[in-house]
Amino acid sequence: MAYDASNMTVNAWRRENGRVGVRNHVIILPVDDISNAACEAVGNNVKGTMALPHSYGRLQFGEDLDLHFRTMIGTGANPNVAAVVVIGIEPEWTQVIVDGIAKTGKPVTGFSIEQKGDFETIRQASWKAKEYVHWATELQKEVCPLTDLWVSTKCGESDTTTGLGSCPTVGNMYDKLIPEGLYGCFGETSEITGAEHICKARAANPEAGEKFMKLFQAYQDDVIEQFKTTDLSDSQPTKGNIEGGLTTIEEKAFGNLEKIGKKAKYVDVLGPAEEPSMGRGLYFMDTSSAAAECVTLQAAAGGNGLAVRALRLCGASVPDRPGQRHR
Amino acid sequence: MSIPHLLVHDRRDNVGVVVVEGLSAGTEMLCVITHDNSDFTLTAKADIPIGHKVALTDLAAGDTIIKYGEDIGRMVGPAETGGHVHVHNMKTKRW
Repeated sequence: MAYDASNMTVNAWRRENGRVGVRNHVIILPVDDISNAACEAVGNNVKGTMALPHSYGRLQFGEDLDLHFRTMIGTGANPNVAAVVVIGIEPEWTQVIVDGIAKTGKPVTGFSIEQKGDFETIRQASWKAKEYVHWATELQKEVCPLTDLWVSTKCGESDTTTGLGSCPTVGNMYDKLIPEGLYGCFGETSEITGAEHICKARAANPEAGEKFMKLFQAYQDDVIEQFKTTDLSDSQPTKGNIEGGLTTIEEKAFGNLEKIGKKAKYVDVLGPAEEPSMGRGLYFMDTSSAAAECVTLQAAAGGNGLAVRALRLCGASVPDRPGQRHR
Repeated sequence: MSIPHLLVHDRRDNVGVVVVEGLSAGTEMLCVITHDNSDFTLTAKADIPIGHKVALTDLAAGDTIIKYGEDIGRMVGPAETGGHVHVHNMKTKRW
């Protein structure tokens, strides 16, 4: 029987900007690492909120700082998030993130710790978080087209069976839903090593293929060649991959690429946490292959569903993605 | 068809993947090529863990290993038909 993927729906929250969310989080977002404790205190005070501590946001500059802002703004802007409390040490950078998130139209308020200290900041932010939880709890789900979701994919501690079972299954999903208008995203630049010619060939147009090869080569030249030690620096495949039967990075790469199916082609190549701008379809994103980093960048670009496939059960945890702790 | 012991992605491949637990030396393995669902049999020459690779032909140091119909590395030691192929006798070509 032919499989009909058209007209499939999902019950989800339609956000102010039209995007669709499958979670309804109120998040407490630190601008910088020294605001983590205040955010976690608010998260502890107000049930139904979630603090997202991280290790960044101080003394960064240039491209590095741009990526930090893009990631923080993108995380708050993600449609799985209903409302955001932002806490930073200083008002200026806090406001940059608040203003970025506010473009989606969702409720967002910033607090800064300097001149008032942790206790007063936590008190004010907790009241705002409580107000947001009351508001978000009353939001109703509605019936939305399944293809309004943005579903990204990431490998999780592969072994040889991922190329036989779970990756082809995700690929089958993309082959069926991308033609219906789903947004898809795959990445893991380093884990394409050995299959880069296949990845280039899966571009929907020559420009996207060249863009992929350019960044792949830059990764080889800037990151690998200058600093390599022995066999992929004893890092790829991972020890867990090897125990599972994978022997070389090429073998891992071919299994990895099974995730994008047999037909789907990517329409553009994105920088880390860059929002897709070419309309519906599959995208490649230049990401780390480390699970938490990769899915954080995909979520910050707007992804709200994650098709992680893993036999060896990795515990990557990104709280605004469903299926976060896949144990 | 009974449950296969070994799956092979592509007809061009010279290794397959064990998909049962506790495979022991001497087992007459049912092997299936997933690309076209064809099958053949092969005798396992070692106890090989699930997920690990088995040589479909006699392999010597320097031979290219084909999986998914593609080059995934080279042998750095021998493996007989039905033997175990892994980090002890195989390596990437890139490093």
